[in-house]
Amino acid sequence: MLHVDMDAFFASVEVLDDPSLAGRPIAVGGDGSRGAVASCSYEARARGVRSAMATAEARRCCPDLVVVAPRHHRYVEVSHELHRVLRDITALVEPVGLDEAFVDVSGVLRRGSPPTIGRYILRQVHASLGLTCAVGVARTKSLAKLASRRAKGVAPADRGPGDGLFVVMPQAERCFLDPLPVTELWGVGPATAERLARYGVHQVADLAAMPPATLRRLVGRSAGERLAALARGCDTTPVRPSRPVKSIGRETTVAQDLFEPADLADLAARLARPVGAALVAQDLAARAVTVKVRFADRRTITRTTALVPPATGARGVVEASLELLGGVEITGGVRLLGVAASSLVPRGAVVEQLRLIPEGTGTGQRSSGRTGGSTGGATRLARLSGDGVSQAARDGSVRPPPSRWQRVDDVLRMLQHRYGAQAVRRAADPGPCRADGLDADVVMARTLRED
Amino acid sequence: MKFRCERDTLVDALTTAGRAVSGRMATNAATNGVRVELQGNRLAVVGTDLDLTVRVEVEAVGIADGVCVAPARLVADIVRAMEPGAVTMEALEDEVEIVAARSRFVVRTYPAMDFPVLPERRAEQLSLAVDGVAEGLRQVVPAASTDDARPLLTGVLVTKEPGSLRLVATDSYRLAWRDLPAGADLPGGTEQILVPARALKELQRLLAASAKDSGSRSRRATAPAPDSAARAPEPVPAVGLVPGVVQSLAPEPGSPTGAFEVSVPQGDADVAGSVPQGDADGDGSDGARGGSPVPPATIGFSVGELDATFWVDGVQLTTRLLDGRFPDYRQLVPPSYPSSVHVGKASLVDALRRVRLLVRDNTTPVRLTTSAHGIDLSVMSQDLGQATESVDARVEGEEVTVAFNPSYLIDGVEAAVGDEVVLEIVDATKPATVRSPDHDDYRYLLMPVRVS
Repeated sequence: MLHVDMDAFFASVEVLDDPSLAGRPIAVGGDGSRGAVASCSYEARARGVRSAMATAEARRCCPDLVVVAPRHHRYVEVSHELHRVLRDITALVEPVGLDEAFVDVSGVLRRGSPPTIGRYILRQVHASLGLTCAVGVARTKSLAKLASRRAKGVAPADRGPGDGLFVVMPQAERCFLDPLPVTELWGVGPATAERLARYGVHQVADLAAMPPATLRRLVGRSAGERLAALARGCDTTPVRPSRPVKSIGRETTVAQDLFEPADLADLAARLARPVGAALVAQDLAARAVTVKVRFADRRTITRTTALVPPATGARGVVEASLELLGGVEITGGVRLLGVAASSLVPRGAVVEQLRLIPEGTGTGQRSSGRTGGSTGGATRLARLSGDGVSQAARDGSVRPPPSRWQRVDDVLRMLQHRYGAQAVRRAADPGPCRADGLDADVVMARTLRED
Repeated sequence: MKFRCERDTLVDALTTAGRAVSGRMATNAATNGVRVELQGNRLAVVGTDLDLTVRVEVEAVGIADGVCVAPARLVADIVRAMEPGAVTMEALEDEVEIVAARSRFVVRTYPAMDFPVLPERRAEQLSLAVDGVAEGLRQVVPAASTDDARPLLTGVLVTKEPGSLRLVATDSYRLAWRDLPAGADLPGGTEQILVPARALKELQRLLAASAKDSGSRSRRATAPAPDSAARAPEPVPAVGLVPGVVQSLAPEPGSPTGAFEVSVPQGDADVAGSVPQGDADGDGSDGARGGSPVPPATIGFSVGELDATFWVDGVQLTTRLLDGRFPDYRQLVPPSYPSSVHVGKASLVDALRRVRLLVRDNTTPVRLTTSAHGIDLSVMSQDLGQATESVDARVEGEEVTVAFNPSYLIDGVEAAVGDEVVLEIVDATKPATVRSPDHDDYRYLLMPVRVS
């Protein structure tokens, strides 16, 4: 779980848009008599200015404070950019306000370990937004939030490379939590803190040691349970993406009714490909695919099939829709065709039964020589996924290669991510564009050389 | 051809042989039938789909020698529907007449000439203890693949090990092997053969049927070995050669050609003790046709270039062998396991079955986490909910979390012999094993399910 928190967000956006402000103490907020500071730069913080302080008071601590009027639409714009950067990594992004977000990377660990992804976010946010942020990495949302707060301890200007990231390893959770003041925990305000202090509870360690029953009596049943869990580092709240996607579909009405199964298949493939691409882009897997057919007489049918394993890219959607259409009688002519992927789950929730023996072994009656070939495949794939080949060799076990097509999807995704969605597509997709795509296997080989 | 036979005996022979007949219409129409041949008082019924051939021999009251090829399912259905008692079958020109009590059927037959010629019985054969084979098949055959796209994995590898024969099967997700003690090499001088699992499933069925039959009615004409009646109750039943169905072709017990001995280890002696006591039961008296009903203690086994044959209790099962190289399974076994779990078999299986109730799509794994006191199981289903269980166990080594297909894990654990199993785990992506703590002859390798 990652928590991304922009540094002095509003103030930084103002500096970004007006470089002359750089290095000066800035506060964003109302400048009227009742104005308050919404955000302030690190320079201003160094002088004692705090968020939510009255602007007048802020001016007293820091007479040369530059007060800038907030430009909300601009912050929303930059915030969208931030979320786009994060959603490029995974669809499991839960924005909190404009300048924070939780990111569940458990589904995209093939990109690297969570700290690696955290560093990638730091770099990417800087590259795309020109702004700095802090990233907390931990097992749960609440720990990640605490970790990003700890990462903020170092002002951006004083950060070396790699700073701005704070990682709480699962085995270090207790060391991290125990010395924290209870006020750091979610939901512990001054009133609760005071009540706890009366019982000698100041640090999270004290809280964790407290019998749950006592805690419940002290702060109430639900708050007590929640606090006890937080103090123990337990927090099962999942990341809730802001826009839960129920299904992804495309449909089109054709200019002239289709009678030929081949034409229908072409059209289905054309519709299914962007659906698959959307799955890839949003890091989702579809456990069901539906086709919708409206006939010339306006009669409409839908056919749905469950997919095991779920489709994670265009291939699965194309295949399923073609199979479904194979069972539809179209002699009456088709005027509308739709393809939709549904029962969407995060790709991380898709499980994969690993193989002892590589796929494709045992297919031929004469299989000699195959073993060498598949070991080579495993090696290639292991390198592709960044795992040590020697590891597999040392263990004496063949690392089961994930499905080749899933790898192809991964590579396509990577290339599209790096060079844009139009840069590459799969040649093997059925449909009219057969000749002009790059062959996926060629793409794979080339990437390997680059790596 | 004309004979008279007890209805139940005939139905049994027709259905057993008929099981080899493929349900689809074969190119050679005659293979949709069973070949029924009478020689003296011996009735042989043969069914085949050219890959698998089953030949059943029973006693009948012979009236006229001869042969016919009758539609397998139809004739079995007709005979089964008859009134209990004697059934008479007589081959006419291109029909067969079936008469029992006041019923009479005349059924068109296939030309006997069209029925494929079946391999001759080979003299050289190995005999294996029935109980060991039955247990080994139960442990190994379910792990074989049923995916015809990977034909080699639909076979069970029978391979030579020092002092034993090893059965190995895998569907590429899990792999099971079992060593059967054998004092001799594979017959026919081969190192290893690949036997279609389908044939072995039929063999299992035959063994189960013969275990049920034995001690009650032994309808099939198994000629007992001269000393088998005396040998059966003894703790070491599986010695020497199978006397065989066709006595004239079988070498004499103890003859120098192809005499292989299968020794039964002490551990299996208790199983051998369960062999029913020969002709001690009352039904033996109605066995005027069948001789003394002695249950088979051994399975005959011979290997040719292209096929292998098993003999069990009057039934001969011949299967074409798969041609190709079975994957090198030895290299799949991890050299060491950082974690091992000793756990009660029944409690683990019960717990797995309970949490598996939430698995409807066959893709949801069970997560298994080891701790100092035992193992925790959990199943989380996106659609249905979640379940957790803890099972007491003796855990050694590192604590690990690993996910498995619960059904595969249950298969492996149930197949182990004894009250306790040892689960050995490397990590969440490498094969785990299941074995018995005190029997080293069974091993089950299982690949985890990757959960992110």
